[in-house]
Amino acid sequence: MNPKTKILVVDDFPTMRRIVRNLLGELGYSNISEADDGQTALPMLKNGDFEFLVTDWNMPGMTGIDLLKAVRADPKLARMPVLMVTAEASKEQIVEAAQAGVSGYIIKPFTAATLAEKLERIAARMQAAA
Amino acid sequence: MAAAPARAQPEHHAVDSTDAASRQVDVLAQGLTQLAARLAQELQGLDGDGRLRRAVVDIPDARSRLDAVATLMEQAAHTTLDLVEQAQHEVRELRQHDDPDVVARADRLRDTVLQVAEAQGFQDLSGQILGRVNRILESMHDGLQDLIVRAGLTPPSAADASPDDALAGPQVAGLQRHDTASQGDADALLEDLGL
Repeated sequence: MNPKTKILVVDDFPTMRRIVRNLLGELGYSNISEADDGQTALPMLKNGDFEFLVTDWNMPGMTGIDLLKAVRADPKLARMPVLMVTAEASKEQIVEAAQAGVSGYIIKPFTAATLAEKLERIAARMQAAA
Repeated sequence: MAAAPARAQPEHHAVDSTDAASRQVDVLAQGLTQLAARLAQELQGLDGDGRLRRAVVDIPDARSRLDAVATLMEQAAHTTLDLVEQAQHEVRELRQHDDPDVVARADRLRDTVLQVAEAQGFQDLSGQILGRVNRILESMHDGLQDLIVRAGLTPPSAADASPDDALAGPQVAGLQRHDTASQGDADALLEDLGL
């Protein structure tokens, strides 16, 4: 994936946003913005030229799964890759995210290696689809 | 005229059954009154030792302490991430070094520092767990308060709070019941005492 890829990181915990930003930075991605829940993120996505979304699930306001559904329902955003990074680890929830069209799913706590692996996998699938 | 007593018969029966019904209602009402009196007595006895009142006063205190823990952990995680970023800056410079051995060490150090950053994820997870416990406490508090009001028990007041421990432990914003001292205060106090 292009290191200039414009990424939006959505999490209600500022420390987690900082960690994701830091790990992405170490993986070579520096074009990163942040939002603290779906409600803040959605207008940013609609009005911005983001190419990749990393979102938590459990957030006040608008949850990550609702944000994912809103993204998939918006013709302009529908094809954006969405990586969910969440503490929600039940099979039902993973299935729900998959059915809603998630591109990758990382269970917290996670490592930079896991993040790198998921990003590569998503990028490879995008290339195959293109 | 022979039909008259026959007509009276059912009327008589009707009066009988009305009496029986009203006697039954009386017995029922008496029973209910006794039950209500016993319930009222039980409910009064329910908080005889003031434990419910104390819980209602103590739970907000406990919730503030949980919030304080969450804040301390968040601050600690931010402090660590500040230091991680400083270290990453140094490591980036070291990796430009001419000596390949220094670069190899810098690479290992880079991995270590990255793991420190990853480890700060504990704050998110434990913060979410604390948040959930806090919401459970909130609904327990509301339930107990509701029970006290409905049962007509003595409403709780600040005097119902658990007595302070002799050792108050870490200071929690908004919960200090005594004057607390900073390190400077402690130094000054000890100096006054000749130490």
